Amino acid sequence: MAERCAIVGIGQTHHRKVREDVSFAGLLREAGQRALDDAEMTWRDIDAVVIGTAPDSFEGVMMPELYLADALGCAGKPIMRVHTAGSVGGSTAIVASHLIQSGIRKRVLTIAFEKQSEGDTTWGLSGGRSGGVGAGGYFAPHLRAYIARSKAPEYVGWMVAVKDRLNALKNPYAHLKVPDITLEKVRDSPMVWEPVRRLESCPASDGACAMVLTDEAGGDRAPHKPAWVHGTAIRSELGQFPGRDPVNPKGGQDCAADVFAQAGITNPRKDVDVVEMYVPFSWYEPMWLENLGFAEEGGGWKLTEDGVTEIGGDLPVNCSGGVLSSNPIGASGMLRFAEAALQVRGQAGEHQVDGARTGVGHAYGGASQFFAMWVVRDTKP
Amino acid sequence: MTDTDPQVADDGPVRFMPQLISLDYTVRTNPVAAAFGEALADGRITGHRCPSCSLVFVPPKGFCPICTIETTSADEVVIEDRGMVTAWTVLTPIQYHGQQERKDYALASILLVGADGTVGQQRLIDIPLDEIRPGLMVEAVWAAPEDRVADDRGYGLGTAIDGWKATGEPDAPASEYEGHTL
Ligand SMILES: [Zn+2]
Repeated sequence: MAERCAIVGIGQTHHRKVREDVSFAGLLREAGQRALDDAEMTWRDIDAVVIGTAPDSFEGVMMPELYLADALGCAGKPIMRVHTAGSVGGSTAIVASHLIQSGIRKRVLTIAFEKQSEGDTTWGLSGGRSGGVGAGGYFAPHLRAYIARSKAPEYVGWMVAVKDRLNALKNPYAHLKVPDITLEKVRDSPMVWEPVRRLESCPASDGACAMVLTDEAGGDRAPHKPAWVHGTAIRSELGQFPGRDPVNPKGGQDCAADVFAQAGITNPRKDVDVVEMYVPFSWYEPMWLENLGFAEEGGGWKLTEDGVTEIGGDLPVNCSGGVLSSNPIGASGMLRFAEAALQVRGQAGEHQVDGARTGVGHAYGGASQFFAMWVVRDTKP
Repeated sequence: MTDTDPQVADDGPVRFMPQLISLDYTVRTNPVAAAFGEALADGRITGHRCPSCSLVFVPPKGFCPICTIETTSADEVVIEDRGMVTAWTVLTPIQYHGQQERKDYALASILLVGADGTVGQQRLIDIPLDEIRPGLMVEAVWAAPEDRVADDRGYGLGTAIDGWKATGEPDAPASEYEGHTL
C-alpha cells in the first residue's frame, strides 16, 4: 500500500480585493509561513514545494514559479507548478499528496495563490479582445438549463447566497462580508448574467492558501492533530463535444465515484460530515450536490431549501463562506481542500461543524471540464 | 481603468500604476481552421463528419474527440446557416481595456441544421430579450464579405456572422434541443 499522507499544517492569507501590502512573493510567504507555524516547521524542513495558480494571463506575470522559487526557500530544492485553471488549487494539493504517498518526499509544502488585483481576469479570459463575457457569462446558460430541468424555484439561488455570506461572517479570512444579507437583498441586486445576480456571484480576490503534507511518521510527530488523506481523484474532459452535459458533467461524476470508493464511502449523503465545494455562482451548490452524488438528479435544490447544507444541517456545505465569499482563483480550490481538513482537525473556529470526522474538498475549472476532489478524515486510512 | 479605481489610489504604502503594454504577435492558424475560415469568407459554414461515429463537428476540429481519430477535408460537409437556440444568457458586459460592448445583449448556443454540436456565444439580434427561448429558430445575418474574418484560434465563427435573427418558423420541439446545453 502507498505511504500514508498527513496534513500537519494549514495556512491562508486574509483575502481582500487588493492586498496592496504584499507582493506576489509576500502573499505566498504569508500563507506558507502560517502553514509552517501550524506544523512547527521552518522553510528549511521542507523537501519540495508544489505551487498552483490560474493561467498567467489573469495577472500578466509569466511563469511566476521561476521567480518565486527563492522567496519560497526552494533554492536547490524541487519546485513544480500545476495548471488546471480554476480547479488548480485542488489539483496542486493532490500532486503534493502524491509526492508523499509515492514515497518520493517526506515533507512537502504546497501553496496556491492568485493576486487578481495585479491584472484583469476578464481581459485575460477574452484574450485581450472585445466581447469577453467572463466566467459568469460562460456559465450562466448552464445554470439556466439546471433551473429549467430541475424546476427549482428561483429563491434557492438566493438561499445559497445568504447561507454562504452568513458563513463568511464566521471566517476571519473571508473577503466579501455582507452582514445585513437577506433574501430580498440578493433578489434586488442587479442581474449580471441572467439568471445570476450580483450577490449570487463571487468577488475578485487577492489571496493564497498553503498546506504542509508529510508521511505517516510526520503525522505521528505533528504538534497538532493532523488530517489524513483517504482518497484523491482528478478527472478532465474536453470543453465541448456532442453529448457533453455541463449541468451534470461525466468528469465530475466519475471523479466523485472514484474518490468515494477509495475512502470506502458508499452513501455520501450519510457518510460525509462536511463538504467544501467549488461554488462561484450560487446555483452551483444544488448542481454539484447532484453531480457528486449527494442528491439524486433534480433533487439537489431540495437539500438547500430544507437547510441541510447550513452549518447546523445534516450535510453542511461551504461553512467557510466558500468561493462566493473569497475568490483568489488559483487558491480557491486549495481553500476548499484546506477548509475540509481544518474541519476534521477541529480547527475551523467559529465555522466549525461539531464532531466533523469525514470531510470532502472539491474544485472544478476551465469550461466545467477539470475536476479535483479529496476525502480527509481525523483517523488514518 | 479610471481615476476612481481603487487600484490607482496613492494612499497606501504601495502605489499601484496601471501600465498597458503593446505586444505584436502572429498566430499560426492550423490547416483545418484555415479551411474553415476560407469557407466562411465564402459564405459557407462547414463541419467534419467523423467517419467512425458519424457525428458532425462545427467548427471542425480535425479529430473526433469521442473516437479519438483524425478527420480531414475528405470528411467535410456543408452545414445550414440556420438552426435552433438551445441555451442563452443576457449579459451586462464587464468593462476592461479593449472591451467595446456597453449595453446588455444576448448570447446563445445554436444547434445548426446538419450539425451534432452547437456553436456557442452567438449574438442574437432583433429579438426582444424576453422572447428568447430554447427551440427558437434563427438564421444567420452574414457580415459583408470583406468583413468576414475567421477566429485565428479555431473557435466559433469569428466575425463572419453579425448575429442571428428569428426565422418565424415554429419552435423546435424539446426533444431536439435537450442534451445540447453546450
Ligand atoms: Zn467519432
